[in-house]
Amino acid sequence: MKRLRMTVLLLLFGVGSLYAQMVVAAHPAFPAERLTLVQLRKIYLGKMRYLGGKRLLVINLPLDDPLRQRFEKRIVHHTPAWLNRYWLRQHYLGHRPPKVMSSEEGAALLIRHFERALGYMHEKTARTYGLKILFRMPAL
Amino acid sequence: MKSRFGNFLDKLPLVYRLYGALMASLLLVFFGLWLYLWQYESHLLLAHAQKSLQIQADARSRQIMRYLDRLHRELRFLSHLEVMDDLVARDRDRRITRLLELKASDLGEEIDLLAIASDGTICAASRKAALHTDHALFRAIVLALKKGRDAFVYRSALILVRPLYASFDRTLFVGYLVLRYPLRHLERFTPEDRRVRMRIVPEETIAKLSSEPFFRPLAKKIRKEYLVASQRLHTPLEGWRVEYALHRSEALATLYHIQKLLLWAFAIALLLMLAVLWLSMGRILRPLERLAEVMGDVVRTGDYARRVDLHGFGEVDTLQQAFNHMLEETSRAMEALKVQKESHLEALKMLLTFFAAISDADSESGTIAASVAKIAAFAKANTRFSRLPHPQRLALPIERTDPETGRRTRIGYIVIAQPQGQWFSDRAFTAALARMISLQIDRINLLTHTRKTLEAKSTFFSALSHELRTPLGAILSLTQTMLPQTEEERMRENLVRIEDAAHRLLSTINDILDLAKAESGKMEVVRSRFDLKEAMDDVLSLLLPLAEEKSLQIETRYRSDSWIESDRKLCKHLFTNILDNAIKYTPTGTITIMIKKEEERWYVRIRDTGIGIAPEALAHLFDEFYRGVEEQDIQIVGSGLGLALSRRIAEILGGEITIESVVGEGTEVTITLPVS
Repeated sequence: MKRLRMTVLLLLFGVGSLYAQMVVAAHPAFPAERLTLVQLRKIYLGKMRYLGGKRLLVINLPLDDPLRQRFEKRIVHHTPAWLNRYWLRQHYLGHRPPKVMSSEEGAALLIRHFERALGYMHEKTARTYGLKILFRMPAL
Repeated sequence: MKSRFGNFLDKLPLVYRLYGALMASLLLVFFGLWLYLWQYESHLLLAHAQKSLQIQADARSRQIMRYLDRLHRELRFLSHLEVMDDLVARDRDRRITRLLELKASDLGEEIDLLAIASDGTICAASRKAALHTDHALFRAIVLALKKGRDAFVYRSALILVRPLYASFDRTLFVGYLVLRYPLRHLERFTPEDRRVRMRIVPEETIAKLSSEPFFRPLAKKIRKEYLVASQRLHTPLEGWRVEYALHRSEALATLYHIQKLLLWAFAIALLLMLAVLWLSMGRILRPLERLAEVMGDVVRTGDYARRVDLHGFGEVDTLQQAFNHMLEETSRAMEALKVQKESHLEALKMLLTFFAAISDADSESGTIAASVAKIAAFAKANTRFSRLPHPQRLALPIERTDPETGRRTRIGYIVIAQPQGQWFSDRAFTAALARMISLQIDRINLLTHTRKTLEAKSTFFSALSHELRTPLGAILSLTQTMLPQTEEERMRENLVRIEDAAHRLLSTINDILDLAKAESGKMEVVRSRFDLKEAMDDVLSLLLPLAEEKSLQIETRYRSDSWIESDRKLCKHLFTNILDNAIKYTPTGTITIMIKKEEERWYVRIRDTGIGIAPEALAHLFDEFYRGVEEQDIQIVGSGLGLALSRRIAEILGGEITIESVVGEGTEVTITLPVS
C-alpha cells in the first residue's frame, strides 16, 4: 500500500516537473547571479536578509499553492505546520515571513518592480516577465 | 353721576351680574396671560429656540467632522496595509480591489475607494466604473499633496488622499489611496426634525453644488422669518459651515399651542359657565322669582296664609324658610291684631251701649241702677252698688260733683265680683267707666239744678211783675182819675209825666213777664188761621202815629192773601217789637214792609233807612237788656228786652229772626214763619 502510494506520487511529480520547471527568479538587477540551496533555505527562513548590502524582498505564494508546497518541501525541508509555528515564534522576535503574493504573475510583477525582490515560480513565468533565474529546482 | 351702563347693570338680575363679574375676571386673566405669552414668553421661546438651534448646529457639525475623520482614519488604516504593496504589481492579484470593494460596501454611501499607482494609473477601485484613469483628478491630488493638503473638494465630491509606501520599505513610494465621497451624501445629516432646515454652505460657490438647495445659503429676503444658527466646519471642509434654520412660527409652535389651548379652555369655561348660568336660572333664580311672586301676592291680597314651596337650596332655601317663617309670624300677628281689634270694637260697642243706657236715666239712682245692670251684663258677673268698697273685688268709685261749689264727693262703689273679659282688668278702662257714670250723674244733677234755677227765676219774675203791676195799676188809675180833676197846668203836666213813666214801667214789666213766661215754657200758643197782612195792618195802625211824628214813610209790599196758621197775638207782638225798633232807630227815610212766601214759609221783611247796627253789636243783639245804640242815641227809650223776647216768640212759633245791617245805611230784619 505504502509502495503504491509512493509510486503514484512519484509518477505525478515526475509528470509535473516535466510539464513545468520551477525556478527562483529575481529582478534583472538583483545583486547575485546564482543562489545555492542553502542560501535559498536561509533566505526563506528569514535567516539571511541582506544580499550585497541590500535588504531582500522575499516573495512567497499562498499556502495552498502547489508551487509553494513543492518549494517548502524540496528547498526549505519543512512541513507547513512546522513553518507556521516557526514564523509565529519569529513574529514575536520582530521578524516577518516572506511577503505573500496571491499569484505567480503578481509575484513576478512585484519582482520586476523591485530589484532586490526574489521569488519562486515556473520558469515560463520568469521568462515571460524577463526575470533573472537564480536557481533551478533539481528534477527528481 | 352714574353712567348708562351703570344703570343698565343695576337693572340686571343679581345672578347675571355675578356671572358677568366672574366672566370678566376670567377674561382679564385670560387676556393677561395671552398678552404675557405674546409679549414676554415669545422672546424667551425664541431665545431658547435659537440656543437650542445653535447647540444642534454645533452637534451636527461635530458629527460631520467625526464622520469625515472616521473616513480619513479608515483611509489611513487601509494605506498602512501590507496588501497595498500589490499596487506595485498593478494589483494583479486583485487583492487591493477586493479589499477596497469590501471596505466601500462597509462604508456605503457610494463612496469610491481608488488605488492609484505613482504614474496616475488607477490600479484598483471599489467600483469597476471608477477604474478609468482620470488625469485631472491625479493632477489635483499631486497638487494638493504638494500643498500639504490630503483633502480637497473635487467635482462635488470630497477627495481624501493617502500616499502609499511599500510595507517592506517605507521610503518606497508606490502610489495613492484615494477616497471619493460625494458631498450630496452629507444630506443624510439633515436632522430628522422636519421643522429644522439644514444647509451645508461651501466656502465658495461651487457651480455644481450651488444648484442643489442643500448647499445654498438661506435667501436673505426670507432669512428674517427664520431663526438661523451657523457653525464652522474644520478640516477637511475648512471654511465650510453648517447652517440650521427654524421658522419662527415653528419655534413659537408651543406658544401657539398653549394659546390655542387657552382659547379652548376659555371657550369651554365660557360654555360651562353658560351651562351653569342656565342651570342656576332654574335652581337659584326661579325659586327667587317664585319667592318674589308670592311676596307680591301676599302684599296684594293680604293673604298671609300663603307659603312658598321649598324648591331652593343653600341660601335660597334659607331665604325661603325665613320668608315662610316671617309669613307665619305676620299671619299670627295679624290674627292677634284682628282679635285685639274685635275686642276693642267690642269694648267700644259696650261703652256706647253702656253710655246710651245710662244717658237714658234721668236720676242719680236711675243712672246707678242702669250702670249696675249693664256692667253685670257685660262682665257676666254679680254686680251691685255699695256705699263701701270691697277689699277683694273690683270696685268702681262713683262720685258726685256739687254744681254750685264744684266739690266732689264719693257716693259709693259699683262692686263687680269676678268680672269676665279682659277689659275689666284694664285700670284705665274701669276708671273711664267710673268716670263716665260719675259724669252722667253730674250731668243729671246739673240739669236738675239748672231747671230748678230757671224755674225759680221765672217764678221770681212773674211774682215780681204781679207785685209791681198791682201798685202800678193803682198809680195809673189814680193818675187818670186825678188828671181831669186838676186845674192847675203845672200839676197836670206832672201827672202826665207820672202816667207816662208808669206806662213805660208797665210795658217793661210786661216784657219781663213775657220773657219769663217764654223761658219757663209757660207761654201759651193759641193757633188759628189768619191773614198775616191783616195782622201787620193792625200793628201798623197802632204804630203809624209814631212814624208820622218823625215824618217817616211806610211802604208795604204784600201778597194779596197771606194765610197762616199760627198764634195771631204772638205774631202781632212780634211785628210790633220789630216795627217799633225800626221806627225808633230811623230818624228819617222810609220803612219798607214785605211779606213773601217761599217753600211753605212766610218771610216778613222790615227794612229801614236808619242808623244801622255795628257788626260787633250784631252778635249781642238778642241778649237780654242789651241796647246796641245806647251810646249813639240816649234819647231813645227802651228796656232792651224787645229783640230777646221777639226771638223767643219766633222760636216758640217755629220760626226765626235774622238781622242784616250796615251802619249809616239801614237795617233789614227778616222774620221767617212756617205756613202751619
